[in-house]
Amino acid sequence: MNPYLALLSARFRQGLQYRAAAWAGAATQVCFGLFIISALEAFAAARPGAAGPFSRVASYVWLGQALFRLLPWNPDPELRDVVRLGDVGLQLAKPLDLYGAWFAKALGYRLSAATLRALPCLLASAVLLPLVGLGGIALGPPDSVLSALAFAVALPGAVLLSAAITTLYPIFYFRSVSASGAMTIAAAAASLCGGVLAPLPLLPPWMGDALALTPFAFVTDAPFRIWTGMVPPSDILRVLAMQAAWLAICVVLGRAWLGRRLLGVEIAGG
Amino acid sequence: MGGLRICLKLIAISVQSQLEYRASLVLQVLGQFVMFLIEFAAMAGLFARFGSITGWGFGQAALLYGFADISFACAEAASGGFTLLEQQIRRGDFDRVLARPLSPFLQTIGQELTLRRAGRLLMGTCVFGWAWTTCRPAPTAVGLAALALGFVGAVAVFISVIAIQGALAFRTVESLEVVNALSYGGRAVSSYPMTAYRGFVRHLFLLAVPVGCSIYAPVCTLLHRSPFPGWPWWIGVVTPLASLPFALLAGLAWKSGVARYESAGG
Amino acid sequence: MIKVRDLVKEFTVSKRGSGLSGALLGLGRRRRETVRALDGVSFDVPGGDLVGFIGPNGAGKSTTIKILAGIMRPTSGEVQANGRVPWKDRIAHVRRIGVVFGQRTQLWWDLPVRESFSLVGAMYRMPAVEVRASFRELDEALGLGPLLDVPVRQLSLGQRMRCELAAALLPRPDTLFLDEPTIGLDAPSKLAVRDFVARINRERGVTTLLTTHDMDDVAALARRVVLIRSGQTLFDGPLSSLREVAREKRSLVVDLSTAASAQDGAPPLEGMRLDSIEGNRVRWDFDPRAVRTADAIAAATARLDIVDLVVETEPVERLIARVYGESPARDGSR
Repeated sequence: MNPYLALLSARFRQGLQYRAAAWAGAATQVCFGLFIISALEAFAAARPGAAGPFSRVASYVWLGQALFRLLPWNPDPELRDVVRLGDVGLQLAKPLDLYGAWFAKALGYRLSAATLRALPCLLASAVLLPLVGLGGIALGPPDSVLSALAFAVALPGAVLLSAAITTLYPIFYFRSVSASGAMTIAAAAASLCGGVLAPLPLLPPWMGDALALTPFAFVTDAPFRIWTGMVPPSDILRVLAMQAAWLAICVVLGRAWLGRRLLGVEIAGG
Repeated sequence: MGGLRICLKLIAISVQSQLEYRASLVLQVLGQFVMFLIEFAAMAGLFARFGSITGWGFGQAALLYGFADISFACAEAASGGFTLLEQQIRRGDFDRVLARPLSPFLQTIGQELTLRRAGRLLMGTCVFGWAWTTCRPAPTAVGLAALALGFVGAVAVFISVIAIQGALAFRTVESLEVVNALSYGGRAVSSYPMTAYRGFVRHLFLLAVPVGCSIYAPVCTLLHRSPFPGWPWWIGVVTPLASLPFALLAGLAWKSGVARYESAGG
Repeated sequence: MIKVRDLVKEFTVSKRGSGLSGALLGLGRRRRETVRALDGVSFDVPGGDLVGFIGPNGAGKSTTIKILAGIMRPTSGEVQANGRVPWKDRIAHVRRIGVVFGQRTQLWWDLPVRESFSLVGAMYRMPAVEVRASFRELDEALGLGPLLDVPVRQLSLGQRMRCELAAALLPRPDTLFLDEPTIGLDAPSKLAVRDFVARINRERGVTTLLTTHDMDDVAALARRVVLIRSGQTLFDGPLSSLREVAREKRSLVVDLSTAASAQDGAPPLEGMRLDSIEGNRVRWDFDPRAVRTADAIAAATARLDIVDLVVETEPVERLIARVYGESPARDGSR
């Protein structure tokens, strides 16, 4: 079996173990979703029309909660310790392309984390809420067939992009004392640009449009906008292209950076 | 009381050992400060677009935000030991706590005063300070008393929630995250006035986990505002008392958790 | 004085499936099993005694110690330790005992040893004068001086164990519980620990309960042995009785000046059995109750040209294994 797929599969299965945590996590996300939507409702009431149809906003928030684990907050926790403790030498001893191996693990980690949380959360927000009379703020279906198709492309793209971004982090960790602080800031930036702190379409245009250009925005914000129809059909291709572009940039940068760093390790000794 | 004195001694030791890694601590605090600044920026963005929320402007909501951050940061710092509990239990290190002649609660509190929470405290203070200069509330005795009592009440509620989360660690090593909806959720909800929320959210954070009684109502009292239609403006001085029954509940949950650990073993 | 009657401890353990489908399906079902770790254990320990608890892994030794220390509650049964029920008056009970868990530390990991002792003194409400006096005695016995300013995490295992013992005995408890105290230690450290424990028990009359895997600990320390397997006591008595009950064998091993032949291997006395011949070395087994060791040596020396000779007792493990083998467990398993 392809060694990279093996790594991916193993990491995915390992991540799936934490099932009770998944249910609990989903419950947490649902609560947060309700709190956020409730507050946004009050905002929307203060300036009617400024938010657009609220059902879209609600769906956007629910997608954000369901796919919360997609946010590129941290690399595979195993990786972080490996680099910090200087085991990179050991990693090099394995007959694999190091970037490929790290990317495969990051992907497996993201996938398992996201899958576990997403399913129960989607169930609750799409099915459960209408049943208890909260259909108005439930997760609605994709805006159109085109939206659904585009989402089917954007979501895997988002997962890959998230893995690529998080694979950049351990590359930065090399001999980095300030890692913890930097990670905190990166996570906050990912949340803000990803539209999880506040939906980007609900921010003032100068702010929202700027944040929407960052790579983080193409992990969570862009796919959500596609689903809810906030992206006009004419723009969909451009959005998908930009997502692909950021993915390419992150991968190329990651490989180049890692290559340079490894050169340093080989010369100086791990 | 001897036990309390030892607890304070343990806290002093915790602070000392954290200060040994001063550079790392400062960087973490700065990182957190920037993180909370970014979160505040999101709130500012929402206000820029919508102008107000149920009759509260940005400055007034910032009072809530800052006050909530200050209380939550203090509670987080004091209850650092409870977050370590989960790991301790998993490694079987809690046996050592039971083998010592000091209440496990005091030992857990004494284990850590998490200094890196100062990032949130700093941010909260800045926001609160800025909001104060924007709103210019008339500093009446009642208003200030409400703030003081509200602070104590809010810290008590947040510590109680975190203690309950720790107590849950005795039963299950996995489902603890749900309680985050009450601790971090409670903090998030407190950024906006309680009137903004739907019924069930209000009931949750006013009756069940009475965070609103210690943050929203006292700030209303400070602003000489009625928190809810028909309620007197000064009610914020009294509402923080709602924290007491909740703290008692947390105490019971803790005792029950320890008893469970003793039965189930490490 | 410690009294234990019919101690029973049951644990519920949950299991889940393996593989991908198990992981996903695990998102639902779990099997629960009840494990009976202790199945009616009873014994008394008079004050000042030193008792060794031995048995295989999972036999229930550590569980027993934890219950006696008050940090675990039994499912049923009674325990009285110096007039108290350990888990009911836990803090009062714990104040009078010392505990050492071999694999885990009672000390504060990141702090210098000195601080750990200071905290122990504070926790046990010891006046400063008493702390100093007690520490001086322990220092004299264990040589703690050079370790005082070292953080616990930097100590070697042997050094740490000395500090653990000192910390446990600092408040001058009347009972000491040791759970695998020599595990992982090198030979000199093991000897040091054994000597110290024996001395403390002898000089101060500290009632000592010790669980161990190491049969040399047992042989060196325990006048009385309690053998636990599958949560039951199979044997409770002096070690010499255990040797009797297990019908201990001895071995006479001789090295000859030349290669040993089959004829050389013939048993020198009746009742001795040839075990092996390897090069110059011949080994016979015999029952020391049937054949006097001195007679065996005399007979062998008279017949053969012996360069070197040694008499070996059977390793305690083998004795114990034989005791296990001879006593069927209640559930019929062996």
